[in-house]
Amino acid sequence: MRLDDALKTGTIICDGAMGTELQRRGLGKGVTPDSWNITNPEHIKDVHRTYIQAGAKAILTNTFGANAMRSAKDSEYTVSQLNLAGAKLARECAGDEVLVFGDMGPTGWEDQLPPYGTQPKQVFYDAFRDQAIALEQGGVDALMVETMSSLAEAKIAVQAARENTSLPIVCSMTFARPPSSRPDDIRTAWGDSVSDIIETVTEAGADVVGSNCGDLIEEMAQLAKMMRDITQIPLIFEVNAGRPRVDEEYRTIYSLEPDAFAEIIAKVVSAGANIVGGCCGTTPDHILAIKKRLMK
Amino acid sequence: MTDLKLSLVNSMLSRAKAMDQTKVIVQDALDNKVPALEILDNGLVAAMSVIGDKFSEGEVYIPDVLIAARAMQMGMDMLKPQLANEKSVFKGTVVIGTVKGDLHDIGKNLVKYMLQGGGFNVIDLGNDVSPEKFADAVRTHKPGIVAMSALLTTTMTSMKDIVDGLVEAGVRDEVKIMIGGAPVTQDFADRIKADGYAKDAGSAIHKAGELLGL
Repeated sequence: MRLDDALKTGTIICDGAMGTELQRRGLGKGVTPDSWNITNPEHIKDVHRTYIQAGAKAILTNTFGANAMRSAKDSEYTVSQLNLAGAKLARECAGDEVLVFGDMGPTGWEDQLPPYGTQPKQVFYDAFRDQAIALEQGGVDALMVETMSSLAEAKIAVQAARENTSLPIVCSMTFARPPSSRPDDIRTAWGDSVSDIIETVTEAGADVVGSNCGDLIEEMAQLAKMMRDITQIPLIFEVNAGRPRVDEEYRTIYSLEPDAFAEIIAKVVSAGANIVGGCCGTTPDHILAIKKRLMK
Repeated sequence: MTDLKLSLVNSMLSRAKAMDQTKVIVQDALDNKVPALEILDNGLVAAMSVIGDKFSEGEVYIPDVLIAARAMQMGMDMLKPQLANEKSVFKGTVVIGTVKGDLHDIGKNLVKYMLQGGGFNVIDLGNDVSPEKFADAVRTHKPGIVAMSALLTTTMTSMKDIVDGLVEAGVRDEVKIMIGGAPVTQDFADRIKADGYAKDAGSAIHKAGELLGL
């Protein structure tokens, strides 16, 4: 199914977290999740399938860091291998009924971008271009530039995807908690405002915008409304299962249980979001809870 | 001297004009025979501390800090020829790194720039730094502070391994340990027996000074 057709059918439920699900399946500290596309494909497929069983109509490939500046930098596998494998695993699980979004995360080097850094923009562009091309070859339905804190970097990623593939492009930014003195001044950690983001990424070629991860949880509905007030294009929101903390045994705890999480998602949908799902700490149970809540 | 500090805060936060304006202000002070150490301490370092506070309060953002850090570095380079003994101007040495298993550099870099701007000599061990590497750096550089960063809850636990590693290496009591990063809390710092926690790069300057009794 095409993304634009799927959007006509109503709210699209996306999947939840990949990283925390892989940790549950034994991904060790310091091992890049992307490498599991090649070394542990059964685990990746298992995560995709459990999300689809829970009700996800769109899934993200396990390729968040698979660009030449991030995990592919020190990997024994190439950018092309990591992304092709990730795209094919997702496609295999999704079939024709479920959408596959090719996941493109930040490089982790955004402080090296001019004017504050000294890495040429072209290096970033090339990294995103090579990833986008491999994901398209692997058969994804759309590209999703996500967890971007720097609008400057997001713009380059969207341009690289737009100019080198023919796929629809989703661009999802990560926001910081606004200062208590200015609760409505929601920006990224890089200081990018909601209006600047919408203008810049749509001009660069994004078909869908939105937000995932970050410090905002309950505030995501407010953010969705701010975006909806200034744009008519489809909006995507993927929310963390609360803010993480570490317990006495040094295990990571995400506090939002599926039902409470689904209530927040319902508000995000009421505020104008068209695609909703989970980010860090969410599980297939969280996605199932969204499905049940939205059917009410 | 308040004027010098305030004009430097303005110049260092002026984004595209930061380098040019800061250069003019520092040169002007030098031409007016203001001692280099005074331009450093009451000008550049004081200005960076104000910028750090503005960052903590959400008045300025990451790009402002990155640009201010470059302007600060340029200003320090201008003063260097007149600072007789460069080492003596430092408030202390900090060994900094992102902990083992964690590849996120940016938060650690922001703290590094802030501490450099705050007058500390900073040794950057990079990311994915093992307990052994931290212990070696303590022996080699004899820092007053070891600073650790982690962005992920899953790699936060490496901080405990590093504290334990410094104990095993017999150098724990020679340094103060401060930690930070998005998921880190004061409670976590207490639990792993770190000496201090800073919630952001701006607070890190104050925490480092506090730990060294400055």
